[in-house]
Amino acid sequence: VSPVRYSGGAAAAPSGAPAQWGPNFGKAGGAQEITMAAHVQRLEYAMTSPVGATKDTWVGHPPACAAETNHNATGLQVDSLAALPKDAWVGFDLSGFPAGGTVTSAELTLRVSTAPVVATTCSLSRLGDANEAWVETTLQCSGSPAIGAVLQSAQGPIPAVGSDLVVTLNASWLARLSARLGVGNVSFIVASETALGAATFTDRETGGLATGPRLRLTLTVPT
Amino acid sequence: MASGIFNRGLQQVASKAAGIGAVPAIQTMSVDDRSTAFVFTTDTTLGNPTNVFKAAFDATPVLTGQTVRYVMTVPAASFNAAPIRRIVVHNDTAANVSPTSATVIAGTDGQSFQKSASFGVTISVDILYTSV
Repeated sequence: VSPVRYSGGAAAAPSGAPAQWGPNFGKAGGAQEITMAAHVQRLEYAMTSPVGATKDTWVGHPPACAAETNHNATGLQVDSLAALPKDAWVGFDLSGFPAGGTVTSAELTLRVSTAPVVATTCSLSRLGDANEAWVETTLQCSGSPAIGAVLQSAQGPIPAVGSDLVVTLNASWLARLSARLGVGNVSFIVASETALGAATFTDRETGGLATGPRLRLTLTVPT
Repeated sequence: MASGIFNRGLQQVASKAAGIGAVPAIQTMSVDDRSTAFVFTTDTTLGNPTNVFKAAFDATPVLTGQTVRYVMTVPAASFNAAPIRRIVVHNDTAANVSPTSATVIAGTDGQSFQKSASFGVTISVDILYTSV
């Protein structure tokens, strides 16, 4: 707040008084006092287009590590098959965003490249901060970081091939995203929730910004 | 970080309200990469930052109570080489706003937002006019 105050009783108009307010304002005999202030009360950034994922892959879900290898180049598969569950791992870099900000809305978009035979929905789990540094070209089932809490479930159903699964992220995710602003990576672990509900999403290497995983944020920041 | 209205801004607002002189309306927003904090009582320009993006508002500002909302969009292709550190509104056309033009009205400093060419961003600034 930057107030300007002009009080009566002074011998002359105070230093800094706007000339347009006249030479007698605030002088002896006057009783005028004007106090005026303004400040930026709220500052909001709303992305007009999404940011793309900075890393993504799919991983067998421990301890069912039958397909023990890195799958970075084979789309983002999800599968709830008990013998070989698969999760899609998608990471976004938020280090350039303002630390201390608050994400007020967010949307995650995934393009379907193989639709499930059995209709299924998805859950979105988080990672702990210490596990956010995973590498898409080396990540594999055994030794993969522990998956954290499910922050959002029952998203979908996964739509037809060529369509987008668009998830409006809930309050838990908004809090998670806010905590990562200006810090670094934030990961979404996408899992199928229905038995035999296997599907594939387009990865960032194939789809880029057009059809790869995308994240769109609106946030407010301290002023 | 700090936000406020410059003394120049107060004078322009007062003059506009009083109908004194040909005072242009607030009509442009800028973002720049200068990390120097504003001195609201004496600054009249941006202080010649290295990188400045400026544009007219996306729409006519909206008054709600004592707050005016100003909105400007930085396109995806713009201002990706440096972080947004300061945001300012000006009472002149975008064409006339420059790193050294005496056009500043109000703003905020101490920001840190590194956008990329993959996305544009719409910036909404609410300025509250109040008595203290």
